Order: sequence, then structure tokens, then C-alpha cells
Amino acid sequence: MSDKSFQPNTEAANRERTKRIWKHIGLGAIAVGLAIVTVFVLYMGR
Amino acid sequence: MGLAERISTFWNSFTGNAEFTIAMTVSAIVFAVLYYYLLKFLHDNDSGALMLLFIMSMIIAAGIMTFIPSINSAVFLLVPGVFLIAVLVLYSVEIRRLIWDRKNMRMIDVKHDNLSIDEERAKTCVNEIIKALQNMSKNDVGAIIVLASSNVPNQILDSGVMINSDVSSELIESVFFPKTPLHDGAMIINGTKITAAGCFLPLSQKDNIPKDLGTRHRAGLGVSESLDVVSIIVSEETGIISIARGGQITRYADSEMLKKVLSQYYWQELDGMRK
Repeated sequence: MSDKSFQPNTEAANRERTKRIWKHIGLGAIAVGLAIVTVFVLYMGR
Repeated sequence: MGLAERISTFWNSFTGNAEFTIAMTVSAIVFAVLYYYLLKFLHDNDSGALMLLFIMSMIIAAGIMTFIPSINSAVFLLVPGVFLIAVLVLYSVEIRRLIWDRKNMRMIDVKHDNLSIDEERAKTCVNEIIKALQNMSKNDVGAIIVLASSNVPNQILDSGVMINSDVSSELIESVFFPKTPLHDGAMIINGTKITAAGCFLPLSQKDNIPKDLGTRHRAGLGVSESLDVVSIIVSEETGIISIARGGQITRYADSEMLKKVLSQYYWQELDGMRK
């Protein structure tokens, strides 16, 4: 058995957190874009 | 009327008419929220292709509606409508689990300011499990612990050995010590008791699991896909601790993350006992 001490990989955890935040921002931006397109298309039919 | 002219008219109405502005803004917010959750759900379930198909369909439909004004614009709503129905049909199991998880999360939120006399025992269990996990992590001892709530099928329990003992770090570490008879299976913890050890779990059939995650991780993920449990996995190769819940795996769990997950589990258990 190795004798290394317990070291949580905070760098990797932070990288995962940053990735998660960007995922939310990306999906939010796409959702807002599609919502604007929907509203505009519906407006054109009035 | 050209597209530029329509956009200009739309913008003039948007800035000039307060009632129109409110109606359009509210509609846009409602659609944005709906699309966000739809996209997030597809993303979480590894349906990149379906997500792309949805976005492309929306863009193509919008293009057609723009250049053929004679089509009733309400027809455009068929695109998100059809996708919504398709997702409800294709992912009925995942949606059911999502609703179940939300319900449980709401229960956990209420529990934190409502402590009972069993809190001390729960705290001890949390500390004992974290201590065992950290010791096993630093010594590269592979382990898989399933935190259940009396909801593990007998088929799984019968595949191992019943223990019914109090949670202690020494016992957990002993069970997972290499070359002992029970070290290869999963340990089932039910509240403050270690119910069984050496249990066989259903393996996840997902094909997008990273190659460096072995059978132990696949088992932890598999059980969390089919049951409302939390599994904690210690990698034998790297000592990395992972947490699987609701079919999703989080790697590189540190002591803070473990404490949060275990506390949520024990508060849920305490709440269940009070009912």
C-alpha cells in the first residue's frame, strides 16, 4: 500500500465546477435566443 | 414586407407600446425558461443529437415562417410542442426519477432547522464514514458504499452477507481490506446501521462512462440509476472518491462534498423516522 496523504483534487473539482457554470450559461443563451425567435415569429403572424 | 422592415416594425412596437413590451417580454421569459429546462434535460441525459435536432428544427421552422408569411405563425409552436411530447415519451423513466428527486430535495431543505435527539448519532455516522473513506482513499483501497433508505431489493441484500451493525470506520475499513472475502462487493448502509456487505449491484449500461472508471464505478452508477440511493465509490487505482446519485456521477469528492452529501442523507433519514 502506498503511504500518500489524503489530498482532495481541488483543482480538478474547480475545473468541473467552471465547466458546469459555462454549461448553464451556454444553455441559457441558446434558450433566450430561441425564445426571441419564437416571440418574433408569433408576432409576425398577428 | 421585407425581413428588415418587419424587424424594424417589431422593434418600434416594442419600444413604443408599453402593453406590447410587457406582453412580449413575459412571453419571451416563459419560452426561455421552457427551452432552458428542455435543453438542460436533454444535455443531462446525453442527448446531444436530439438537442441539436431541436435547435436546427426551430431555426429552419423560423426561416420558413419568415419567408412564407401565408403560413399561420401558430404552426411554428408545433415544433417545440412535438419535441416536448417526444421527450415525455422517450424519457418517461428519467422524468419520473427527476420528480422523485425534487420531492426528496424539498424534504431535505426543511430538515436542517428541525433537529431531533438522533442528531448526535447521525453526526457520528457522518464522521465515521468520512474517516473510513479518507483512510481508504489515501491507501488506495477500493470501496463502494450505498446509502439506502429501506428501499434496496432483497435480491441485492441476499447476494451479500447481512451484518446489521452500527456504523464505524474500523468496520468499514475491515470489510474493504483487500483479500478479505467481502471486499469486492458493495456495502449497504441503512441509516445508522451497516445492513449488508459483499453485495452485487446492477451495472450501468451507459456507453459514455469514461474508460478509466471500472466495474465498481459502473455498479455505483447502475444502482443509483434504478433506485433512490446515493453510492460513494473509492477508486482502487487512484484513490479518487466519486459520488453517484440519480444516474449522475461526481468525481473528485473532497471532505466538504462528502459531508454535504452524507448530512443530506442523514437528515432525510431522521425526517423519515419522525414521520
